[in-house]
Amino acid sequence: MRVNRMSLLLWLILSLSYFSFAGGQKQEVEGDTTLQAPSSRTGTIIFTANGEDFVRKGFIDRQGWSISFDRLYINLLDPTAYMSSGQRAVLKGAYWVDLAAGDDEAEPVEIGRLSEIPAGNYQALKFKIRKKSSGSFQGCSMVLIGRAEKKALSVPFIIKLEEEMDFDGREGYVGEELKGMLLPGKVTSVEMTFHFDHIFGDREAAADDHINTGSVGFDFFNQFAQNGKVDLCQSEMKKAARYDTLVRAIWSLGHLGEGHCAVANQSSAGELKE
Amino acid sequence: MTGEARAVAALFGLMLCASTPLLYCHGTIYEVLTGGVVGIRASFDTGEPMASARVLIFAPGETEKYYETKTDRNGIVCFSPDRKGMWVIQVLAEGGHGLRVNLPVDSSMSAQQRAESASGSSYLQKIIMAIVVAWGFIATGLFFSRKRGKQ
Repeated sequence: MRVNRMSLLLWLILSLSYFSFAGGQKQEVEGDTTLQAPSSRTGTIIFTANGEDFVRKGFIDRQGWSISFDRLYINLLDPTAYMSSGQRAVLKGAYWVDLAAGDDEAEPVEIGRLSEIPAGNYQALKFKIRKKSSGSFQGCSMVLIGRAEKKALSVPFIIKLEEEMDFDGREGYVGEELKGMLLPGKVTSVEMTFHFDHIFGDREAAADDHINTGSVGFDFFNQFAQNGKVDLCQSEMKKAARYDTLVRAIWSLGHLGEGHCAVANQSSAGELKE
Repeated sequence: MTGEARAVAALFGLMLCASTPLLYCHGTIYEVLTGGVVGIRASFDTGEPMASARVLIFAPGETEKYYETKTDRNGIVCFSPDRKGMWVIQVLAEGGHGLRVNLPVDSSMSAQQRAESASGSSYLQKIIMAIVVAWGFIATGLFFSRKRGKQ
């Protein structure tokens, strides 16, 4: 079978063109957080972030440490709610959010809202985790501040993570509510959920449950304690045993309720052992 | 390798990277039931059924729960829709797993065979992409074998 250069070149041009447009025609709506009056075929989307009861109330990790958080900061970039048709609503900007804000019964943290968004099923949500570019905790993407207690020990901790990654929850939010379904003239919310038990494990789960086998527990961080306190950055942990396990657990933090997210563009992807 | 061959190889690599699926964690899958019933079979990606999982069903145009039930031991849940449109099924299993399915129901109260995907690519698009990529491999292989034959 003879194939000449022209036919191969034509194939390359056609396939590049097709891949470029394969996602369909996308309409993108960007906005700031200013409220505007909704029209008859539009509504409002509220973007929220949730660390769940693990962050608000604390928990017992896989090694028996009682973990509680005073603050849990995460830097979210450009959360985008989208429909299968390609219609998107983008909350532009970087948002430094404290998931531990409020009391034990606090609602998910509102980050911002977009009004006059065309009605539809915005079940999918994607967002980026990036390092903070300025101010306190500059260079950190997540900062965990709290206390770990076990028997007579009480260890305050500040764990500064620098991992960057993109989460894409195309399967949608799974939980008690229907999120992302925007009806005309109404308000809906979309939620970025973070499962920090993936880092510490959970004593209430079986020892061979993936939540425990895939986590490092507080012992991992306590090995770096000095003068009874843990205060360290991710870069200082790189040579520790099970550092790879920690990073993979960080990559699994993002969810939409119980709905899973795909993760991509992880900053440590090239550094881990296979 | 000639300059042309390097360029082709680089373009291939670029396109493969663009089409490579994102990394997924432990997941869930489902299939739409056939045979005159409206429902789904929910499973973990290991193949194990999501048995006795809590199911919340939302009717078209509604944001409040329409019906709540559980999957059976095979991960199956069925229901009787009373209107056409897009029904949403959310399955919540133990251990923090779950899935959400958009199930279109037509005017005869039958589920369409293909539930809506949030990925943005239709099945036809995916088939065309697969054919294009496969032809790329074949064409390039033939191109280089032609060059070697000339030598």
